[in-house]
Order: sequence, then C-alpha cells, then structure tokens
Amino acid sequence: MKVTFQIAKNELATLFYSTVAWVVLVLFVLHTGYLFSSSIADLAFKYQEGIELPDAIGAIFSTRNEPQGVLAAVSLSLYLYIPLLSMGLLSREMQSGSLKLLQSSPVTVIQIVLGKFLSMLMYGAVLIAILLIYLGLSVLLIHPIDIKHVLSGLIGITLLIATFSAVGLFMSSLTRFQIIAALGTLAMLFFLSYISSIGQKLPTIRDVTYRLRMNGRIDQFLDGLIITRNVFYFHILIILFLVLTMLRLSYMQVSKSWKIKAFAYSLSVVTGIIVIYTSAIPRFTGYLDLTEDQGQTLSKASQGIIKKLKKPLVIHTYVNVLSQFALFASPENRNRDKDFFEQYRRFIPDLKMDYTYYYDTPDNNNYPDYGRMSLKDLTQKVAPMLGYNFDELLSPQLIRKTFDPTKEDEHFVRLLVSGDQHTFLRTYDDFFVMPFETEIDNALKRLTAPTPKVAFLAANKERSIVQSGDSTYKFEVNQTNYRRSLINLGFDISNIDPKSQDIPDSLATLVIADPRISYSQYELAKIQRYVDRGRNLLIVGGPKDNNILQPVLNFLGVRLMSGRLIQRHRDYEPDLLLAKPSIQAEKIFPGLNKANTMISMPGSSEILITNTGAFHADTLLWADQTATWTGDQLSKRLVAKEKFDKKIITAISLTRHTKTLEQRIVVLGSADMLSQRELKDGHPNLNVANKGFIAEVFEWLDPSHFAVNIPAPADPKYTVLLTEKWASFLTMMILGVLPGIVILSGTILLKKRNRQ
Amino acid sequence: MSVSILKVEGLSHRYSRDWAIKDINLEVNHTGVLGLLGSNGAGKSTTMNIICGVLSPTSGAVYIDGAEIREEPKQSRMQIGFLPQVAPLHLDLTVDEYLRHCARLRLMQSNLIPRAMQEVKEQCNIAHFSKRLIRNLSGGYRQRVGIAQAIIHKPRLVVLDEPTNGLDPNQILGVRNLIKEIAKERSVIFSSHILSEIQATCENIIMIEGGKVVFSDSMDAFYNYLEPNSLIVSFVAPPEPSQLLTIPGVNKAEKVNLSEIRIQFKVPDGISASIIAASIEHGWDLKEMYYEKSSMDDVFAQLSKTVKPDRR
Repeated sequence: MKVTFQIAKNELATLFYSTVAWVVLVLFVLHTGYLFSSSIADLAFKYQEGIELPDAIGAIFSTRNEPQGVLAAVSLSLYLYIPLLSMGLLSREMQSGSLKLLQSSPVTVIQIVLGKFLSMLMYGAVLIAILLIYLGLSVLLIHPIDIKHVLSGLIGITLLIATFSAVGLFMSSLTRFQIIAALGTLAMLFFLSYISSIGQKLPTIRDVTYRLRMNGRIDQFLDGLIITRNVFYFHILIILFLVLTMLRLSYMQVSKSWKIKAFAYSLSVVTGIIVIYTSAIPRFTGYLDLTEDQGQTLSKASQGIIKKLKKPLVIHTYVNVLSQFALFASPENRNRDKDFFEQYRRFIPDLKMDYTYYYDTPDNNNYPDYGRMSLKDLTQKVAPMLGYNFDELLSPQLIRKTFDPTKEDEHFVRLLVSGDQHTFLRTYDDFFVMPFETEIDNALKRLTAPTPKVAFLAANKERSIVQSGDSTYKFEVNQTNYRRSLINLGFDISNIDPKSQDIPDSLATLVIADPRISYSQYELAKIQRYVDRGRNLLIVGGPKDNNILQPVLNFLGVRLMSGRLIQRHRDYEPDLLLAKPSIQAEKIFPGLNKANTMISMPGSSEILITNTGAFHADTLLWADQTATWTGDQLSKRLVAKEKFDKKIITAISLTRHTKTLEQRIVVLGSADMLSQRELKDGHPNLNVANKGFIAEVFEWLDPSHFAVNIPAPADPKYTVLLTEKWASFLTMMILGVLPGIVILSGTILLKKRNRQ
Repeated sequence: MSVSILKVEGLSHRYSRDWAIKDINLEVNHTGVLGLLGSNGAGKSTTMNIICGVLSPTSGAVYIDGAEIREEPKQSRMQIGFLPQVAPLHLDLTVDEYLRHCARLRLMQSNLIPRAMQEVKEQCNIAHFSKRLIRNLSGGYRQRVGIAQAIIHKPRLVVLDEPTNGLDPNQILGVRNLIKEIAKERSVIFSSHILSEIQATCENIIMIEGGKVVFSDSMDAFYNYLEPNSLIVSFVAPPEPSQLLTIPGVNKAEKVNLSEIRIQFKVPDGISASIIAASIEHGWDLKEMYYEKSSMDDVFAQLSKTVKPDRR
C-alpha cells in the first residue's frame, strides 16, 4: 500500500508540475463558479422580489435544463476534463522510458495501476472539494437545503470521475502518444454513453446494450436516488478498465500469442458485461432515496395499492404504428419506455412487460395519404421511418383476435393484467404523453378494488358522453387520451335510460346533464327514489330549458334561475362567467386551494337555494355581482338595490346524513362548463381550473373515494439570506478571488520550479 | 558454497514468432564490471530487460542473489539497479525528488533514504544539483542521475544498458570512472555495441550475437580468441624480408620499422625454432620475438560471423 501511495503521490506531483492540471482546475472553478453564483444570485433576486422560488437544489445543483445546475454541468464537462488529465498517466512513462523504472522495481503491476488510478482520485478529490465549497455556501445562505440530496449528486460525480479515470488510464496504457490517449478516452466514453443505441431493434442484444449504457445513470444520483444497479455499474466499469490496464502492462512484460491476449481481454470484458447485466436484474436492485421529502420514491398511497396486488402484474403494450405516439414504444425505444415504470418496478420486481405492434386506422391527422392509400401501403411507407419492420406488424385482422383497437380509439395503450383482473392504462394527448403516478395508481387500483360506477341519464337528450362534439361530455367522461377523464381516474362509465332501466344503488354518482326533454312522472319517480335512498347525484343545468330540470331540483329545494349571467370582458363573450371557488369548495377540493383560481362557466344560471330541508347547502362557486349582470333579470336586480351586494351563486353542494352514509349532491349552474369545447379548447390567455374542479367534484361524490390523486411534491418555503448587493460580492469572490487563488498558486509553483 | 549474484539459466525470449535470445547462460559471482557486447539487435537489451524484470522470459530462469526473478520478484528486484538505454527519468522532478521517489520504489526504509541520497549524489558528483529540475541538466548529468537511481538502494547487481551513448568524450570518461568506482562494491553489467567502451571499462566480457552467447571469458581471452598467424621479430642486424621467406613455413615477411619485421606463417608449430636457427646461422642477432595479437575488431567480426541471422 505504501508503494501504491508513493506512485500516486509522485503522479499527482507530476500532474501539478504541469500546466494542464492547473488549466483544468481554473476552467473547472470558473465554469462551476459561474453556474453557482448566477443561480444563487437569481434565487436571491427572486426572494427579494417576492417571486415564487423554484426548487433550490435543482436550480443550484441538479437541473439538467438550461441554466444547468452545477453538478449537472460538471457531469457533462468531465468528458473533457478527465481525458486531459489521464492522457499522460502511462503514455508519458512509455514515451520517456520511465516505465522501466517501475517495471524493474519491486513493484507489482497491481500497485502501478492502483497508484496511477489513486492519483486521479486525489485530483478528483480537489474538484469535489470545490463543489463542497458551493454546498457549504448554500447551507449558509439558503434554508432549508437538502444536504443528503446534494451528497447523492456528489457521490455520482465521484463515481463518474473514478470511472472516467479508469477508462483514461487504460487508454493511456495503449499508446505512447498522449493526445491519442486523450482522444481514445473521449471516444471510449462516447461509445459507453451511446452503446444503448446499438442493436435496439434486435431482441437478442437490445437489453444487453441498454444495460451497458453509461448515459443517464448520473441523472438518478443528481435526483437524489441511489440505485445499486448504477453503483455496481460504475464500480464494475472501474474494475474492468483497471484489470484491462493490468493485463496490458503485464503483456508488455510477458510475450504471449495474440490468441491468449485476446482471450484474456475478452474474458475480462465478457465477465464485466455479465456482472453489469446481472446487477441490473430488478430482483437484485436496491434503492436509496436520499431526498428529504422522499420525492424519488412512490407515495405511500401507491405502495399501498401495489401491496394489494395478489397476482403478478403483466403489462401488455399495444402499439398502433400509425398512432400519434407510436415512436415512444418503437423497438428502438422499448427499453426507454420500460424505464417509465422504474419506480413501480422497484416495488414490483417481477413486473413483466411485453409489446405487440400492429397497424390500424391512424388516431391523428399526421397522415394525409390515409384514405388515398390502403392502410397496408401507408404502413409499409411509414413503418421504416418510425423504426418498425413492417413484416413484424400484426394486420388489423390479426390484432383483433386478441385485442380490439377500436375500443381504445386506436391509441397506443397498455393492458394491465393481474390474475383475472385487467384494465387499460393509456397514453395522453398532452405535453407529457406518458401516465404519471396518479394515472398508474388509478389503473392499478382497478385491479385490486371494486371500481366506482358513474351513470349518466340518457333518454331525454341529455349531454352525450359517447359522441364527440363541442357541447358533449365525451372529453370529460370517456375520452381515452385525456389524462383527467373519468375513465382514466378509475371510474366505470355507463348510460341509463330511466324509461327502461332502474337506477341502481351501486352507483357512485348519477349524473343528470342538461336534459332537453322533460322527464315523465315515471322517470321522475325513479330519480326521486334514488335521491330518497341517500345516493349521490350531480345535476348540471343552465338558463336554457331550466324548467325541464326544475322538477328534479324541487326534490332538493333548489332553483335554477332563468336568464344567463353575463360579465364584462375585454376579449371574451359576455356570457363567459368567471366564477370563484368558495371557502367550502377550497376545503373539500384541495386541488383548488390556490390563490386566484377561476372557473369558467359559459351560459351560467344563478342558483337559488329555497328550501333544502334536511340537506345542508354550501356554495361552491360564486360570481362577484359588481362585475356581473343577469340578462333579463337585470332590471329586477337594479330595483332591488338592497340585495345588490349579494354574491351570485353558480354551483352548490348539498349534503345529508342518513343512518349509514353521507349523501352528497352537487348542482352546477352551467352545463357548458363540462363541454368538450370548454375543457379541450378553452380560452386563449385565460387560466381557468375547470378540469381540476370537475375531476374533484366526481371524486368528492364517490363514496368509496376510489380515485387516487398524487400531487406533485411541493417545494419547501425557502429563505434566502442573501441580498442582491451581497450576491454581487459573492459572485466577485467566486469568479474573481477563487480562480485568482488557483491561478496565483499555479503560476508561483510553476515559475518557481522552472527556475530550478 | 556462496550464492551467485546473478545466474542465468537457459534464457530464451521470443517476440511474436522471432527469438530475440536463445539459451543464454551466464553467472556472475564477484564484483567488477562485466561487459555485454554485441552488435545492434544482437539481444543485449532483451537480456538485460529480462535480468531486471522488465521482461518476462519465454523460457529459462534468472536468479538474483539466489532468488528467481519471477517466483520471488520483490526480493530479487530489491537487489537490482537498472539503467535502461533511455534513462528512466522524471524530467519535471528535481534530482532530490526523483531520487527519493526511486528509493521509495525500491522499498528503502524512510530513515535511510536521506543518507543514501547524499551518498549517491556525492558518488555520482551531482550533489550540487540536488534542487535542480532534471530537465534542466545536461545529458551527462542526466546520465549520472540515472546511475544514481540505479545504485541508491545499494543493490548487489547494477545493470547499465549503453550508459555512455550520446555523451561527449569528457562525459564518457566521467561515466566510465563512475562505473569503475561503483564496481568496487558490486557487480556491474555494462552493455555496449562499442568495443572501445567495453575495452576501457570491463574486466570480463560476454558477447551476444544473434541472440546467443558467442563468447564469455576475460578481456585477455577475448584478445586471444583468434589463433595468432604472425610474429613480430626484432634483429640487431635485420635481414631483407625476402631472405626470411627461405625459412620453412614462412609465407610472408614485411618490415614494420628499421629493426622489426612481421612474419606471417601457415603452421605455428616449430616456426619460432626455425627463425632462431636462421638468425644464428646468418648472424642477424635476434633481439626479441613475440606473437602478434588479433585486433578486437577482428575478434568482433569473427565472432559476429559465427551465428546465422535466422532466428525462427
């Protein structure tokens, strides 16, 4: 060990007696110092201006987006720094002949290699020490700072430095020309990073090359999650390249045939590959979430759902090659697609996933040739561009033998199966496309618990949940590729014709949505019996045909006023009412609990609470009357000036306690607020929360509280103990004094030595 | 029975398909300088690299102070000091830093290192350059630093591979003297392809040619390797060379100076008696007669011819 340290010490001294080590150090300090000081100054500015602060750890250390966090930037720039440092480790000794000094000394090859490697680790420790200065300053200046989260990133950076150094050491042993060693290291690191792009279309090697990739592994460390697979990966790579270097040095001393050498090198590489591959098997993978809020771990709710899965989970993925997001799960991207379920695989290590590729009607307008060409010809033309082999795709006829794509609108969809239970998990037509924890939980929960049923009355020209159209409710209720539609929140949806069907008590909610034909006494009686039995109900109406709903509302002691509410806007129609949630609404719908939340209610009625009897009525949404007129009721209102300051109610909740349950009813004064036009198209530049509000209404009405809603973890309330003035001072210190000290130290040392 | 400082048994080494050396045997039992002679590419460096552990032989064994170099590498290498053809210097270090590093690599005890450094610096006449960067030293002093690193740990065997290459005449003289000084206390193997270097420095010589040992003996034996075929004869009243051709067995006679004549003969047996008899008979008054030695170049050339170039 003493000799190993001596070799390391000498190598480190040689490194610091050269200009390269100092140049790299100065560049490192300037690069990281700039990122750190600018991000912390930005936080200080925002804090002083009262602007909501972003995640401080992300902003300073780990974000990969521009402007990058310090550690994220370091993880990328090490590709340039380390080869410059490692290039001379052995090639310089080979070039100068000084390697023979080591070879003729009582020193083993292992000691030589470990000594050289250790010198790089020592240099790396200097880089880490600089990063620790930033962490120390962050702890002093910002509260709270999740130190363990940052340490996770630093562990990752340390492993990266060590791995790059091992690769650099090996490349340095292959040539006596330093520049070739540096370029070789860069090439090898590039190869290791992008090895996953090799053979991703080939089932035999797809998994192997993907598991060998270096790219992306550091990200999980930066996010605060340590996965044994990644730790093993870096360690195995380090050992592999050190062993290869040892073999190389040994073969410089011992003449062996090329076959023996090739065998030894190949055996080392293959062993490394096998160990890396094995260590990535989910069953052998351990996780350590170092974040304070356990933000890299599934919520307790999700873990609870997973525990209830009695049978192994299988995810069958069905991809229509002509669907909008077919590329996401193409053979080339299949492993990346599997990574979306990494968090779940952590708790379901035996999770199985398979993929079925087929072609069928496009679910989008991206193919103008559709209609002009046959489906087969179109697919033959398109498939290669998307990375698919047409011959491996199932035809529309063949896919229908196992799965009917039309039921899922030909979208890219997954079927989750556990024992004899199954349900769909979908992709969504939004920025993120893939399901989040909420959607996956809701789908998984359908495999483990009775699903809540929501029925819509459909006999009297109520709003349709089946047909698409501006005024229909399909988008909110049945739209497969809308993340917050009821079917994606876990609900079973159906229509009920009260003329011919009874309304069952098993419903979570019955919806009466803007009927245009009056209910018969027979139908009304069925509805009344349903209400009387204490079941939950959502009634949606508006000023148009408000009388049709009134007989139902009479059961509740509520009136929908005639005449639509109007409001003065600069850019929108006057009947677009912008309502505000009441305190009660914010209490029962936690998702609405944000300042300045608005709900758009086009063509809304005022709701009057007359005599609710046993029901307790609460206002959910209201409009401020100072900015609101009621069309044909305006004159009456103006006359009754004493009532002028009264809020106009546009949505209410009614609750009644029976012996066994709490009955919940919601009445909404605008039928269009749930329409496809309102929810899907919305209004430009108008930030309204209709989607969240409506989803919350259905979740509140469901007595089983089935739907899981996993909110994104809230960032802590940060305190920044740094004024703008002191931020400038800090920037000056970090970008001026710190690099100055390094430059001065290097210059003095090198000048002094050159004079010797 | 004392253990040999160096014993090489059946040493052979092959680079890919070609044998660099084949079946080399040698033994060193005492102090002094052993010259390793051979033309370029003869296998000298390979032999020395193997002796010093830089290369591992294809077959054969090397014992340093009784320890086989592959089986007991640590123990054997502690008794070796090696200066390769290109001195293994770290140019960015000072002389002191470098020597300290070398001493530690040779596993010297820390408390012995300062004194050992001082001794070798004085011995190699580089003490005044202790703080000087090696890159700022002249070639001769760099070579001295190279020699200093080879002897700092007081090894029993010092191997110097062409240590005078590239030095000016004064530096060569200095290095030669230094080697002789070192050889008083330890065995030194000194390799060169320059005969005069070997002649000036070594007491014993091993010549390698074509990867094989073609000569191994003392320097005197090397001179006498070729059987003599000429005599230098000195007379008080020298005859004409043509008169000497009448003596039986004499092939050729030529004047060297006024009194000396070189006589070449076919068969050495009885030639001196015949010349003495003729001198008495003709009154030439013979003063002196001795066999003329072969020149080293002749020996070198002769020995070089003894090995076929094919090494496969």
